[in-house]
Amino acid sequence: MTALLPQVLNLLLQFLDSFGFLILSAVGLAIIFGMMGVINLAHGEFITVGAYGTALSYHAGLPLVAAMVVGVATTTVFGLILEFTVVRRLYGRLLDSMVATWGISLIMIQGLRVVFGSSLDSIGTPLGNIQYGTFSYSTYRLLLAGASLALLGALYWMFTATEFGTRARATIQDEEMSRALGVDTNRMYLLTFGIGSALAGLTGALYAPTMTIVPGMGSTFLVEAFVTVVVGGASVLVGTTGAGVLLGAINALFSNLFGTFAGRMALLVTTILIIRILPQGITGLLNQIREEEA
Amino acid sequence: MTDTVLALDGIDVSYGSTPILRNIDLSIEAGETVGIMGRNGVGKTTLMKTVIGLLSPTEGTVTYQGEDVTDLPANRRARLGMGYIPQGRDVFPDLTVHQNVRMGRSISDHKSENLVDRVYEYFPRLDERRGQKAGTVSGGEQQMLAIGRALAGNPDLLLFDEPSEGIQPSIVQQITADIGRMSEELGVTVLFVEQNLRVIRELAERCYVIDNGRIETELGATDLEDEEAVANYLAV
Amino acid sequence: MSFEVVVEVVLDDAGLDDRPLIVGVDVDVLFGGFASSSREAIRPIVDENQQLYFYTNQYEGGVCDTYTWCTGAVPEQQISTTLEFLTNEFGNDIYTIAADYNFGQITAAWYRKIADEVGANIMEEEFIPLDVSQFGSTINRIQEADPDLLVTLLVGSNHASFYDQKNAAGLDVPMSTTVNMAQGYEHLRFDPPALTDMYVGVNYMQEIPTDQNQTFVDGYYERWPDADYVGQMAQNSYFTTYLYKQAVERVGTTDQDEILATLDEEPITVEAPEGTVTTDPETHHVTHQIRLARADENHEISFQNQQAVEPYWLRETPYPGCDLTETTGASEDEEMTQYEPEGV
Repeated sequence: MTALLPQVLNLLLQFLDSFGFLILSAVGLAIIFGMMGVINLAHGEFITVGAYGTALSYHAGLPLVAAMVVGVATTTVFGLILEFTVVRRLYGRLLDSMVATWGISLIMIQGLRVVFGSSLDSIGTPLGNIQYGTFSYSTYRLLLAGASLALLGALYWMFTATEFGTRARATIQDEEMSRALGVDTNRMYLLTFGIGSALAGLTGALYAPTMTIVPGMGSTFLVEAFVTVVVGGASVLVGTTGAGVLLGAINALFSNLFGTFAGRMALLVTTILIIRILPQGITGLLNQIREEEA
Repeated sequence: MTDTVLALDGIDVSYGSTPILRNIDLSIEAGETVGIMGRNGVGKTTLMKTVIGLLSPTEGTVTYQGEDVTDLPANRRARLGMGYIPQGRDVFPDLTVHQNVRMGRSISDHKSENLVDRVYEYFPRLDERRGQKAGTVSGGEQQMLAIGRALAGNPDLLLFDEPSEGIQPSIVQQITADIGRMSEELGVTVLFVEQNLRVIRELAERCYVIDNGRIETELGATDLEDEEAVANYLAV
Repeated sequence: MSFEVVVEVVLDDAGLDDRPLIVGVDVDVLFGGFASSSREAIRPIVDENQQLYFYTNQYEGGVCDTYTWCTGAVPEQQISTTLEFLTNEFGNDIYTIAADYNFGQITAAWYRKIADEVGANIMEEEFIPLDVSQFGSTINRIQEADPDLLVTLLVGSNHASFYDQKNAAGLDVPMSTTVNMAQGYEHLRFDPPALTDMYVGVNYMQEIPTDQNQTFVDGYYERWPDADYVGQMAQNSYFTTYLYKQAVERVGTTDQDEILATLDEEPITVEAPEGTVTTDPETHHVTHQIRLARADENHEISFQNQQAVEPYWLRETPYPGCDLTETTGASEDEEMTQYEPEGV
């Protein structure tokens, strides 16, 4: 019993860790994809901008939390500028949007390298660790999992309980009708892209203290983000959350039992199976269940 | 002087290089209920979309309450007080009935008062279904919802694309009655497109007949009383 | 007689195909390549053109090639003396985490081989894909195994996040590697205490506290004031240039056949910033001064256990049995094998 409890805790913490990483990686991408049909291949680099903004202002002397706010703000402004200049022209053009944002991603990686060099000084992880049995775990990483849950809660509230959320959902469901009801859909898209960018920036800001800060750091988030969005399907909240739970659990279990490599394999195999069995992802499955009930 | 709510002047509309509407002139005075009739595919829906601003004319001007709105996008026109009820209803399926109704409020946002409560008075069945997803209610209820949604914003002009399409006859009758009542009680001007003879005769004070993208003729109140003559215009 | 060596820098952005470099420019000697992948792409072309080539970075070992001289440190040099020292100090149970590609796999095999030789025990090995940046489960598993020594053969910026995450999780264990600090100066780039108790067998780091090295480091920064660090590859390229100079002076010509021959005849010794370095004609590698470098919690570097270590493994018989003195001059079909430790 005494040996079992820490093991169970291990699994639970692993799950939370994995869940948090998947959700935070994916949520900005999911919102932009779900609402605007644009696949932002520069999503990873948006996260990088968040981390850079955070690290640079932290090293300039700001307290960590304030530095994170700067990181998020920088990414948001950056995203808005990009929407206005490039992305705006690509709505509904899936493949074009992928090529263009991939180009943006390459420019950003090299641009960051040219301007800031091959890496920034890292930020140490704050908050120490908690002990249990022979194990210990970083408190900050627990906080990250908490942040992902809080973020999902906040997004749920935003989409279901606010005027903006209703209009955003109306715009996804029927853009033309929304315009005919007075919704400035261009502004809606701008705001949505801004929110997606802000969330990517937040992810970068939150993970900045746990990672090496280099121009290419975004790529490590991109795989998780895509896997989560693909498994989740089009629904931003339900799909992403469901995918986070499913993939997080599988990744935690296999990593814990057989190591990181196995965890990663299990993650990708699950994704392939889901694409095969449920092409619309978890969203599709839920819709199916709902229809059968109705 | 009469108040002209809407005037189209020499409107041409094309999809790509295919002309759909040619040289459309029409005008509607405040408080009028005007029909546009014609067979399938003659450009009625295109005309409605051109009025609300979802399509842009290649020639001509759209004047709304004395203002040239030809270059304004749909969302700006809607906010000047145009309530649009599209063919096929186009309710937001994943929003609740109540959220759908509230979406209409931005129409005429210059007015202090919105009509959300009035909507539920007109359509008690919507009141019963407030919390239900709009995609799950019946076709007739969706039509009521589409009307209620446009009405909620207290519009000056209702644009109504085929109210009778795809709806049971009994409900058509009720909806027709509702529209008549609303136009009377709220003083809203109505422009509607229809090919159902009964609906046209019941609602329209006068009527334009479209064929081949042109206005063929205009029927006044007395013309509309002659059922057979009107039916001829709709015959293939 | 004395020669002035003229170094011409030929930039080659194409990277993996150096044919135009050799064929077009007609060089006397070729230096270059940073990664094993580029070296292995260069070697066939070098052999085909019978071009003398110096690869100066440390690598995973095993190249036995008539035209190629590898003057960086190799695993048997970096690991043999240090692992013995570390197991004596901390205990015999070793846990290895390594990047999941040829460098990590081969170096992990080296740790297995040398652990066998010094009587240590590799409890577990975990190979980690290069795109992994989150190490929660790995840290868990290490804590569960509770090793005396953690061997980290991690590569790239994603993997670099391990150290910070390990400390944040409170995993406290001495570490050993062959890659960090001497090459990527991680002890300066990462915030302390990320690399606390990291032990690396190095042939060179700029912190080596000798007058000879101090002169070199001062000269380096005078010439390139903006340099971040003088790493092992800088030093290796530096002394290798002097090795070549000596060979040229010995034969009195830059003729490649003659230089290849004299390099194979008898060892050449130079005084490098790291100390005395001697070529090994049999294997085309060099004997290095290996020190065990340790980073403390402030990332201050200290050195201990300095020894001259020969590149002894390649010439072991029957395997790999490398003896390049036999093939002086030119062989038409140079073997491309890169030997790896066997049976471990």
